[in-house]
Formats: sequence, C-alpha cells, structure tokens
Amino acid sequence: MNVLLSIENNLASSIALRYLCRQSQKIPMFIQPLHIEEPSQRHYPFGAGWVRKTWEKTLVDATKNEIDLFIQAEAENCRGLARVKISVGEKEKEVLKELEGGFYDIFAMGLLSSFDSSAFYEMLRGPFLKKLTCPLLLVKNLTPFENILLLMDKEINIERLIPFYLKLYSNVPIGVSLVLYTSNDKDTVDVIEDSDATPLKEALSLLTSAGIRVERHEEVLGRADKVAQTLKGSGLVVSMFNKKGRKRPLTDVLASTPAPVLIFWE
Amino acid sequence: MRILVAVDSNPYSSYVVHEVGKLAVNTWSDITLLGVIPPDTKKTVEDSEIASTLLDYREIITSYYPREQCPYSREEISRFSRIGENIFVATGKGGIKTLKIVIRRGSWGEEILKQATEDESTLIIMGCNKTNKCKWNGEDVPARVANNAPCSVLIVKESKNPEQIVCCLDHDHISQTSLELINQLVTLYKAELKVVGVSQGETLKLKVENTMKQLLMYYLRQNIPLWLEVVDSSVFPTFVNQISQKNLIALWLGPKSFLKKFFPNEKVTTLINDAPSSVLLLR
Repeated sequence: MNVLLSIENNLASSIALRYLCRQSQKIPMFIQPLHIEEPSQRHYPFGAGWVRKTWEKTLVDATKNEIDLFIQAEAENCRGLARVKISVGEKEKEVLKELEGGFYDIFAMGLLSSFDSSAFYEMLRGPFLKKLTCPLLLVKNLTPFENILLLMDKEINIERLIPFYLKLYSNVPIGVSLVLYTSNDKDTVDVIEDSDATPLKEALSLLTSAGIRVERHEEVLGRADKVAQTLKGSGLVVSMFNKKGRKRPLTDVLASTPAPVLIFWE
Repeated sequence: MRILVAVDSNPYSSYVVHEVGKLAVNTWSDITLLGVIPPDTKKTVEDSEIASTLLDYREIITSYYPREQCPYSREEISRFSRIGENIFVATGKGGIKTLKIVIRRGSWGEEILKQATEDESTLIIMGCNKTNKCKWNGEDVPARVANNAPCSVLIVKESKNPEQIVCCLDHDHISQTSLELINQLVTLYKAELKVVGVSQGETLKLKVENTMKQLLMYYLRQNIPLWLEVVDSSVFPTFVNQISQKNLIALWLGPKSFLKKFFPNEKVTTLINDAPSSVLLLR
C-alpha cells in the first residue's frame, strides 16, 4: 500500500504518523511524508526566474531540517517510511500534484477530534476534497490497529465499498466487523447482533467469498453522536461519502467518532 | 499526597470515605478526616455525633488494607487532644503514614479551608448529594471550598462510576501532582481518559497543543490509552454541560487559565451544584 501523508510540525501530524507506523507493522506499506511550505505573499518573489527558485530552495532547505527532526522524533518502529518531500506553494495544489499519476492508494492526514463537527463537514465539502479522488484517511486519535470496522447505512453502495476495501486490506491479518447504522432520536444505542439486514448480508457474502474473517455483523440504532462513541474501540472505521449527495446521519457518525476514519468516495 | 477529606454524617460522606479508602491503597497518602461542629454547640467533642462518625470512617479506611500491611495506625482512639482554641485532633500511635481525625468548631467552609492551609493539603475531597444541588445543610459548602481552596478539590457525587475522566486544559502549566491524581482516578474508576484542548477560533494555542502532546507521550509510556479532543471556546459551556452528565470532569483552573473566564466563581458553583457527575478542580 502506498500512502501519501501530509505532514506539519504539529500534534495532528504526530498522531497521524505514529498511527501509520502502527499500521505498517501489520501491512506492508510505503509512507511518503509530504510537507508543503506556504510562503507569505508579501515575501514571495514575483516571476518564475532564478531569484524565486533560489528563494524556494532556501526555504525548502530551512524547512527540511525542522521536519526531518520532527519525523525522527515521532516515527517509532516505522516500516516503509520514506524521506520527507518538501514543496513550496499552495498546499492543496501541491498535494493534488503529488497525487497525480495514481501512485498512491491513500492520502492521509491528522485531524484532531473535535466536539463541533461542522469543521469536518466544511472540510469534506471544501474544494480540495472535491478534487481528491483517492481514499482519505483522517487520523483523529492514536489507537491500536487491531480491528477494522466497516460502517454502512441502507443507502451505501456495498458493491463499491467492499471491492475498494478489499483492494487495500484483503491481506491484512486482523478481524473485520460490519456495522449497519440506522439513525433515530433515542438517547440509548440499540444493537441487533447477527442482523440479517440486506446490506449486511451482501457485505458479509462478498467478504467471506474473498476469504476475509468477519468477527461480527450487527445493526446499530441510535443518535449519530451516541453511536459514534461506540465505535471508539475500532482501530479503523471504513466508510463511504458521497461528495454530491445530501448530508446524511452516517456522515455525522464519521464526523463524531474519535476513531481514525478511512473514507472512500461514492 | 496529603488528602483532606471533609465529611459530615450524611450517606454521601460515607460513600466518599470508601472512595478515599480505595484511593489510599494505591497512593499511600497522608489523610486528614475533618469534621466541623457549630461554634455554639454545648456537647463536648467526644460526645458529638461527628466524633463517632469520624472514628467509624477511620475504620473504613484502614479496613481496605490487610492488617499487617496497613500503613496507618490501627490503635484504638479514645480521646481527642485540644491543639487550638477550637481544634481537636485524634491520631493513633505508630503507622508510617498519617491518618488523623480533626474536629474544628466554626463554619464548614471556613474551617475546611483553614485545615487545608495548615495541612498543606494537595487534595480536598468532599461528597454531596446531586439531588439537593450539592448543598450541605442548605449551604453551598462544596462550591465555596472549590472556589477558594489553595489546592485541587474533588467533589464526589454519589453515582455509578464515571465512564470517562475528561480533563480540560487551556494553558501549559500541568503539575506532576495533578497528573498522578488523574492516573489514580483512572485506575480507581477503570475509566477512560480524555484530554480536551480549548481553542479559540481555528487556532489551538501552541502551548496547549504542546501540552496535549506531552500528555499523549506521558500516557503512552504509562500504557494508559488517551483520547484527545479539541473544543472551541464558543461551545465550551455546552460541551461541559453535555459531558458532565456521565463523566467526571476535571478542569485545570490555574492562575494563567482563561478557563477562569468561562468558570468564574459563580459558574464553578453552578457546575458543582448542577453536574450529575463528580467534578475535579485541579490547581
């Protein structure tokens, strides 16, 4: 698996890097840290000549040392970690440029878990993610990577979600759980174990045909923020998001859960 | 740790004493059990109801240890010594840690604060009943102590154990003592631990972020899982209201804290009186 990891010298990136290092213990992967230095407009030399190029190179050299030290301090037992790439320019543009060519399977970034999920929605609907085609891994907390939870609702396209998932994680030696989420206004969360709801049955069939061990499959009913907390024990929550679709409760769960979230695009 | 346990004869105090017993086993703290009697009471200290209650509470704490391993004296206490005009102390001989009983004459809040100052307590623990707005004899005694204490204060509400201990910080001054106290509470309640950084707008102050990171690294080394969350200052009161329903909320309210802006004394009083769960104010 090839992962492009957005790196800043901050807590969110520290958590994301450490989390990926944990994943790298179980999944062979190549992790490319990428740091974008956004120069202040006041100091950015005009033109595209050698003055600007020299200025950019100086900026890159100065930043590289700082980010190298940051990565050295954060990366523990990390397999497949490449040396950091540093670019100067507009962050979103440089990331999309790096992702062109389709080498990377996932774009990862740290995002501290927030009480207010409006920021999560703004990010999901922002111009950068509208152009992002590869799956997005948002690392909100440093959790053990010991289980994966596939989160769906009745609208999700199982026949897209499962193949996406299998492409990345079919050989990962950890258990998978399937959860079908149904929203209601109750304060309590109800769980129907071994539910035979259609999306669960379909997902179960596709996964077991591919040789994947499914530890549990259940339907979970409740308010999104309550259900989100029950997903805390997951090492990774995997789901889908429709960039053009209407807002739905499943996305509220993804916004509110403190577990790391991997989003495929519908 | 030097723990001051302020108690009366109500059931919530008995509950607190049991919690202190469990805490003491892991911390080997010096403990003062404090009761207060009105200044105009005619009964002698030994004959007061609070004296026999305190002696029972002492037994409860020592009962958490096997006899041979108890660090506190188990000698039977029969009398109180007068050490000040209105202060009476009883402590058994022996023991490698102190477990003393103090009875003071005066008003509750004032005497608790005086004792904390004299003992140089690191923590005051008191209980209250969540159904009567956390009052002692109709007065906001726990809130008064929480607002004015020179040290951390834990107000314990009789309830089932908290699911999470949620620690809110907005500055970088976190004492080792407060960290150890939080560790002990996590162990005591088998609760999850969450650290919340309070941000203003889109900026999480650099110092807060660095502190959150240090805490993450500290708890990683202790093998204690830690959840991190960011809450914007604009929704912080809503956040506190929500989490205090089921979780123990811990606030660092040091002199540099801007949380004091959200929690001036009257709001601390409201939080303590209204929160269904226990509240820990860290200093």
